[in-house]
Amino acid sequence: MTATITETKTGWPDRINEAARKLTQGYALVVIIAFAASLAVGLLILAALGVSPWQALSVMINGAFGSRMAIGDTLVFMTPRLMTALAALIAIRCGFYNLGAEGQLQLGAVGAVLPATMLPHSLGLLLLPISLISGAIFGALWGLIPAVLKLWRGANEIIVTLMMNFIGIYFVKYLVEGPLQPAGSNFNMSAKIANAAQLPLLLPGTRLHLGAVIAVVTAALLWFLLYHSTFGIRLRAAGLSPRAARLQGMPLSRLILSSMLISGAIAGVGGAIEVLGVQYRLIEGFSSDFGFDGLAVALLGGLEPLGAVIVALYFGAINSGTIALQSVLSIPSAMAMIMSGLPILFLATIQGFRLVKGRK
Amino acid sequence: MPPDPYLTLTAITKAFTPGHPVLDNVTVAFRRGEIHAILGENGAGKSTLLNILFGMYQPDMGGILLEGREVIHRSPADAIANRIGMVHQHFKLVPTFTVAENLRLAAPPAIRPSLARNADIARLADSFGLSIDPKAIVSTLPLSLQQRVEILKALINKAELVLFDEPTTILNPAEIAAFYKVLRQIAAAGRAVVVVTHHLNEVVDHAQHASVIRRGKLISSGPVAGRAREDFVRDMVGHEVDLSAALDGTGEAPGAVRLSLQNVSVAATPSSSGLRDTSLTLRAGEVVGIAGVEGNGQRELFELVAGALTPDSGTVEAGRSHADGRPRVGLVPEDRHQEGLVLDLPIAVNLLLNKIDEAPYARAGRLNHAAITARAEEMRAASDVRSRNVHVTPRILSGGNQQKIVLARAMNEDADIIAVYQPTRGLDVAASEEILRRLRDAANGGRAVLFISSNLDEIMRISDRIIIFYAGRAVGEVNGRASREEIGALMTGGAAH
Ligand SMILES: Nc1ncnc2c1ncn2[C@@H]1O[C@H](COP(=O)(O)OP(=O)(O)OP(=O)(O)O)[C@@H](O)[C@H]1O
Ligand SMILES: [Mg+2]
Repeated sequence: MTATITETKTGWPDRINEAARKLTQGYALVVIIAFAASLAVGLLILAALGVSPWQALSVMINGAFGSRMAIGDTLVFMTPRLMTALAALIAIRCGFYNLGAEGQLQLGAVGAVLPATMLPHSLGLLLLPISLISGAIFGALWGLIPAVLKLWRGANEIIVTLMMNFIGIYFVKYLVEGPLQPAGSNFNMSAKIANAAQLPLLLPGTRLHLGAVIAVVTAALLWFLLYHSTFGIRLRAAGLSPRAARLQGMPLSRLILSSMLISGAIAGVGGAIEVLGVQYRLIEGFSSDFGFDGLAVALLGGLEPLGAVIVALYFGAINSGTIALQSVLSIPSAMAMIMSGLPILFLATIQGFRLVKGRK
Repeated sequence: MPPDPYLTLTAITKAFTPGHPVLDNVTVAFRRGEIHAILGENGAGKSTLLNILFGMYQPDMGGILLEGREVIHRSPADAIANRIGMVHQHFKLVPTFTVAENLRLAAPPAIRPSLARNADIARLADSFGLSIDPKAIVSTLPLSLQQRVEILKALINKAELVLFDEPTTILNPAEIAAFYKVLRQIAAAGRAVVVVTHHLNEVVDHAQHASVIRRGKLISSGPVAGRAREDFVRDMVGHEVDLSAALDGTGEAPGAVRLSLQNVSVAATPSSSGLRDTSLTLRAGEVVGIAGVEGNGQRELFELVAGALTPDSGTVEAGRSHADGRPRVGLVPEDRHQEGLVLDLPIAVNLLLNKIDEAPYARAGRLNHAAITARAEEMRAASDVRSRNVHVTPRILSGGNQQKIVLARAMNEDADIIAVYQPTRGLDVAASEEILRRLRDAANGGRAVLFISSNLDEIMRISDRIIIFYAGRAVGEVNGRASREEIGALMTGGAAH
């Protein structure tokens, strides 16, 4: 990254400026307040359940960061949400409201499991990249459909992407109850993938796998794409002001198609990672709403890759922290949903007030 | 001895950022029966002053005296209760509602029953001289009629003081005349009227009182009678600006054909006639003005020249084209905020938006920020864009500075044609003169300039030839010295029949 360091001196104009704008609008502050407030409310709820908030907090922090295993779990939980968040943000930055990361993730998982279970084991280490790429392709093609429908027929992408999520979810259900269910099995899951197709574990004694690294590297690449490539600046111009971009010759349709290909591919790899790094099979309901979480992560992170990493980490920590709450203090895991839902509520409320107050 | 003021703003001071007052100790008085014009450069603080009076901002110091009594406007609701109405530059109507529904929505409960039937509303509107169809959906109305709805809202709320922020920038000359007739009527009924405008002719012709603000300070406030446009300009900018400075061509015959439209047609829409079998040529070294009432094909003409529209029939040929077939043209679009700029990207990117993927600004798909910044700084200096640097967004700049960015980009295009559409809309006189000057210089330097505007004065000053559009066709062509009457007749289709 030495190249980017030399550029700091001349300034990353748009990057710094946009960050400054968000700061001056108090966005970062608002997000921090939203998170702090949700943590406080979450602990209050626990207090109401008769648990000492301080004890709960320490159990959670321990469960999320207290040991190597805890950190590994947190990162494993972060990974799919980061991938879907990145998928959502690249499309939204181009002005295309892709709410379909969940479906693209499902298809990506299908794309990964097919080669990982069916190709001859003799391919050896090639199986992993083939499965990942296949997941990316499945996700990308799934993401391309709403883009094509929009450009060709003007179909509203919000509705199409949202509905296609359910098609994706039920498609996986069909596959694992039918064609992909091993003969004689009663479980709604595919056969186990080849060992060579599994994502390598990174830290002995933890579940941490290479997928977490793939997710963070994807975030860095996306940041580079958005702020340091001509593609990224055109994509942002088209998203912010399509009419101005069009008059300066930016090919809006091509930009939307490419951003949706990238978006679908990222979500698809997210699904592939779940199969290749966590479950080692395709399982019905393997995604606990990762796609929808990802949308929340993207928006809470201000549609910035770095913001997405931070918020996804928070979501991951809440996930592993509340599992600890459940096992140590027998607190229902629904707490996790409350804790990750609250920041969105707070953020929306605070922003809503700001909007009403700031109205000219 | 003039009558006592109806309302006085006393010693208003307001700073959005500490230490940089936008308004500095401004005192002005508005009287019943008068049209009071407020003048000033872009960013002088005019809108801020009206917004404070209307309760949208609180002054840091100073106050409001209503018939000698001190009042405080914490919100627009307070101002409305004190019988103040405001017509904003960007309307505050519900676009999907009918005129009648919008009016009922704005009316206080006590008055609402009297607006129950559409016929009541139509009658009321007629009584103010503001005839309108109560059943019309607001979004389908032209801007001049939407403005009427806003005025009616104020009058239904029994406003005694009506504020207008740049009401005429969206109107064509005929609509402007009709608008001031309405204002005179409103004032004659004993109300006070305040108008912010950049058009000095309107002040001289219609206002009784004028106040000039320069960089937040009140420079003058007094009767209009006996003052000339030049006096106001001096107060506004602090030095003389020659408003009738010649914008002449070089005197040489125009050169080669740079752009030619042959028999182009574009389908009509509800708000526009489209284009019907129209031809036009543009030559090096000339400014060709396109005059006409809005909606007679100007927008389609601009979009064709920009390559953003393909004609249903006919051809558009430019001397040079982009790789994707669009004509190579420097563009100054009509809508500065939506079409001219990407308001949330930095000035540097906006200045080079048309070249952002070319060397040296990009290499192998990678942005070269150093080259972008260096070139943008150069362009900013040459065009005198007043901003801290090129890394801020144009959103926070005044209209004049925003337009300088758009024009600088158009000039920086490797094109021998420049097409501009309403290039001085919303700009103060000095900024407008500057834009006209630059366009004339571009033509004199050998470029071809297509100048589309609804401001006939400007067209007449800058153009070598004037082509008049009516119902989607070029119905006439006159040279730059033609009379206003001759052009006006063609604009309404008079000479075409
Ligand atoms: N809400 C705000 N926050 C910060 N600065 C503001 C705000 N509103 C206006 N300003 C600044 O205050 C100054 C005066 O703005 P104002 O809109 O009153 O100018 P104006 O005279 O109406 O100009 P124009 O002719 O361009 O409409 C400008 O420098 C503007 O940037
Ligand atoms: Mg203003």
